[in-house]
Amino acid sequence: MNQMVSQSLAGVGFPIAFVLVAGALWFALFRRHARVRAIGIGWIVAGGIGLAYLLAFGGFTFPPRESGHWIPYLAGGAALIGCFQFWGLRPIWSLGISLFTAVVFFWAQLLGNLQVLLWVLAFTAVLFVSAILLQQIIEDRCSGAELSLGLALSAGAGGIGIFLGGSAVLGQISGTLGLVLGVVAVLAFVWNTTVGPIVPLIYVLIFDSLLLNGCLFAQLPWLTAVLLWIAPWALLFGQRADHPKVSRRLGSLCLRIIGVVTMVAIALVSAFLLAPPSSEM
Amino acid sequence: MKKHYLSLLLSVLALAGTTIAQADTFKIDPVHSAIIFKIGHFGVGHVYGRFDTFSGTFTFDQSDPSKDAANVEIKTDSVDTNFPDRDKHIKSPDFFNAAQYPTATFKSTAVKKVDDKTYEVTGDFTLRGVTKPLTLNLQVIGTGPGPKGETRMGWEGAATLKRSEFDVKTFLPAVTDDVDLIIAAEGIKQ
Repeated sequence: MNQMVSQSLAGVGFPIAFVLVAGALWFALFRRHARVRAIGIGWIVAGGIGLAYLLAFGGFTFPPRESGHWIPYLAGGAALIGCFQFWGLRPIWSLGISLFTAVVFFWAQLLGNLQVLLWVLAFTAVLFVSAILLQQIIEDRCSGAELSLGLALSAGAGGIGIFLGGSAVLGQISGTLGLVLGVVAVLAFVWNTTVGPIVPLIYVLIFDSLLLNGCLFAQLPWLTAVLLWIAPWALLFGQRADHPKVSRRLGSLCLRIIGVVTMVAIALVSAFLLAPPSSEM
Repeated sequence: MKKHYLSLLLSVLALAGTTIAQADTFKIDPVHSAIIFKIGHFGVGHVYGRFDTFSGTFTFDQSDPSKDAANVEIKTDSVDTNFPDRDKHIKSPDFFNAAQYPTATFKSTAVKKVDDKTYEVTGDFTLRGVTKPLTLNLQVIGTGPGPKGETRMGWEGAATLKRSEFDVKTFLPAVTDDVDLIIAAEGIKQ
């Protein structure tokens, strides 16, 4: 077990360390430049996901042959699209990359099977609605710490759910995504800044892809996936807390996150009930 | 005496019915065949598993091995390691990704006769969408009539593959890269 535990720890630890160091430097350097800060943090998070994938799977597969292979490319693509969104037409870009991600999932079945088109449209709608909600509505109403922490809790719980569903590696990537976003939440709290709209776009594409992978190709319960998908929407309620006093911000953060924690807890209970842990090792 | 000649005649006729003509095709009988694998576990033991659902054919020509061939299709979600939770994990994207790749296949490309009973069958093995050459070392067990008078032929053999070559890299090296295959196939002449 030591060898596997150390491999898993490395697979999680290195991406977190990278995001912590690079993110701290970036926040410190561009604290007052919101757009540059958002772009940099987006690329740092994408880099963290890429590193997590590299360590979990032992390399990138190019050209990608299955939906899971697209994860690091989607992370980079989301960061790139996020940059373009600063020049306007944000919904169009979000719709475009949502459709691309959906097609990637169902490409092999799409040819000659029109029913699969419904799946493509449904998944596109899921991604697009999530992107609009998180990027435009929730991001405006949250501090960087509140948004990142909400997403971190959902992704972290997703790691547990996907692991219980039968995929340890995808669970590790989701868990690492959660921890990376947790690091971003801490940094955003310390510097009392926003994280911008690119981080939520990366979260939507990567986490929703992981959830769909878990449901379609492992045995993640659909109920758990839906609950985790909507958990961050609890951040719709409330207002951003930018108070300079740390204790006040901390209190507001805790209050704000209660809704997300509740949804995540219900999702985890459903995962444990519907896909109980095993002892195969 | 007449009874003796009669039984002799019947034996000759029965034998004639079960001889292998040139390039006969056999359909694999899964009820009397097995595909088993063995993989190392933390350097202290082996885990065995099998595939419960597979199908295929093989062609055998005693006088011309170049006409021999084998085609096998294995349902990846039929993997059975005697522990359902582990089977669930093996079917997941961590290993076989059975939902996206429901079959693994072997299609022979060359057959080399080593001696009267031993053959090396090389072919393309496809697992998880990746195709790599694989050589099976097979031995003829025998040929003869089955319970319903059909002609049967049986083989047994082994091969070793590296799962990392097929993009199955999870838990390396704690769970070994080398996977030993044991194949026992009995076919019914078509």
